[in-house]
Amino acid sequence: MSGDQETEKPPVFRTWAGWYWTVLLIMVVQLIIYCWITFSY
Amino acid sequence: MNTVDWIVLFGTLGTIVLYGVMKTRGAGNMEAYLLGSKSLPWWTVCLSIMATQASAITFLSTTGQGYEDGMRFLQFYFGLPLAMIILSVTAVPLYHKLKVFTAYEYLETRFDLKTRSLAAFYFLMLRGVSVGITIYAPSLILSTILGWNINWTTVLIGSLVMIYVVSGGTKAVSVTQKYQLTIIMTGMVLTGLIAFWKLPGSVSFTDAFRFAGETGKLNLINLSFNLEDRYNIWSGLIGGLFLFLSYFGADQSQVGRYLSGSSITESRLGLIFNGILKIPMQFIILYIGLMIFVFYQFYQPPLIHNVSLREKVVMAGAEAKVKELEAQYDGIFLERRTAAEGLMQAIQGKDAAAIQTQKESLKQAQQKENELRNDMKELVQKELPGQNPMDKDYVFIHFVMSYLPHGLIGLLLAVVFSAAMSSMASELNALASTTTVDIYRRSMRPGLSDAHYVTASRWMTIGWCVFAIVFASLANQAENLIQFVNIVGSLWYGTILGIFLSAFYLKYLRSNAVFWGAIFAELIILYLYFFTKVAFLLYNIIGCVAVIVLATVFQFIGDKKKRPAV
Repeated sequence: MSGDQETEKPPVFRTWAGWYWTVLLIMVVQLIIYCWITFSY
Repeated sequence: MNTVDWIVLFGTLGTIVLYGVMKTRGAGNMEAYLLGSKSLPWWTVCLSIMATQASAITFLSTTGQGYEDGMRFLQFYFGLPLAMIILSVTAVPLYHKLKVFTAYEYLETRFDLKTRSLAAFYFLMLRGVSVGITIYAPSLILSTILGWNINWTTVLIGSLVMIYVVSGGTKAVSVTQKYQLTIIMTGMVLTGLIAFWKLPGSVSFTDAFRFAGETGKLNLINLSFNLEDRYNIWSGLIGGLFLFLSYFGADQSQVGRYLSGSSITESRLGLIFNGILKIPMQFIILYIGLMIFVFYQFYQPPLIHNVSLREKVVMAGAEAKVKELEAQYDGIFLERRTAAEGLMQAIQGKDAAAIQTQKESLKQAQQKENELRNDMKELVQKELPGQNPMDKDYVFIHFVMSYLPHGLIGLLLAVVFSAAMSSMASELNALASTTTVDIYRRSMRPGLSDAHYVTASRWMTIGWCVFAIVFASLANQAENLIQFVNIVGSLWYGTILGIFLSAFYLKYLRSNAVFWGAIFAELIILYLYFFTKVAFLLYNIIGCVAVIVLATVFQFIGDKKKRPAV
């Protein structure tokens, strides 16, 4: 029976990998914003 | 400064010291005194990490950097989030698992006593000198602005810090830093808002932003790869990664902060949130400098921001020359303000052609003004030999003293004092921990009671504090001290990082190879310093790579010798 059930995936902040990817994502978003400011203004 | 300012200033500082003492009394054993009983939540760890890194000179100098050089300094911090992730994965669980008091203790587990002692010695050399500058640099600026004696200013800051660090140890450092950073950021943001509110009524936030952009100050990203350019995205990502791995992974003043987290989770979250918040925080500080720059397009700044130098030059007998320069300056400022108003109108009218014309006029007026400022600096050097005429670090504090309302002036001075105190507290605590745990307890007087070592730590804190104050008073005689301290820092940091990277990631390396690798790497760095002109910032990377390469070579030779002949 358990084989038929879909495994529940952990919410992103329950895993450390989730936290690390979040930091990287925030970093990338910041870099994009800073590039946009530099080259637009 | 009026009575309200003095009340706010001393009220704030007194409250912080009292809070630190009351909240953390009675730390009776080593874990309580040096690790805060490992009881702190992640937000306290995070704020403590940020407050440790941000010294008074960070706030004074970074705003000046934004004012003069624009936003490009931000790139320096781009490697920080990556360093936080790497350390969260590697260093944090390791330090917690081994229940170490200091980072160097781990080196004995991984290598041996002599490698641990060597790294601790390198750290004490590095941090011992820099704690002197942590107290000297803000004291110099505050004593100039307030007209105080610099030696008494260093004694005041040092004594305030000593009271709560000696009393409560690590926990006192962290809990006070939480409030110090809150006061610092509140004061900084208020200053930025006031600079903006004082702009002419027709100038909106977007106009001010666009104005900064048109004058080339929004230079946040530089994609060119140039080794001679200190601030570009590559030096920030690569050089910054190395620097911050070293600072947060191997410098006890930071390791001590996150070791006081109540679990691996709390320590990791502290580092992670530092990785998220640090760059936006630096952005805000630089942007405040930028707002002051825009403000001074419409209001006349002094010819030299360190106004005490003007008075000293006048006293030295050059009053006529100063007045002549100031008369010229009045005319040039009117020309520059007209050009700035023209540029602002062109921006508001979205007139591309007019923007170009007005930008050119503003540039020419700015050039004339810069020439006049240089004349003033030359006059200072001529009349007051030995005085540093650079005034970038005085831009922010002069603005605060001249344009902020009473009450807020006191708060902003409390900000500068708090920033100096928070960094110094961590450094003293780290120096005391390392001297007690890695030198005194391990090699000089092992096997005594916890209470004895707590008392020893307290005395070490007092000793290092006195050392910092004496160093700061001697530093008063030296020229170009900040440069000197940066060089001293770079002399040791690379080698320390090399030892730790070998310990964390290069499992094939053993103690003798790393120890001798670190000794010879340091000799290479000292050779480069005394006999070549290699830029000192490169010592960090050269030292680190030299330790790893030399240790690998020594390991290989050692293994070959041990192998039996066939």
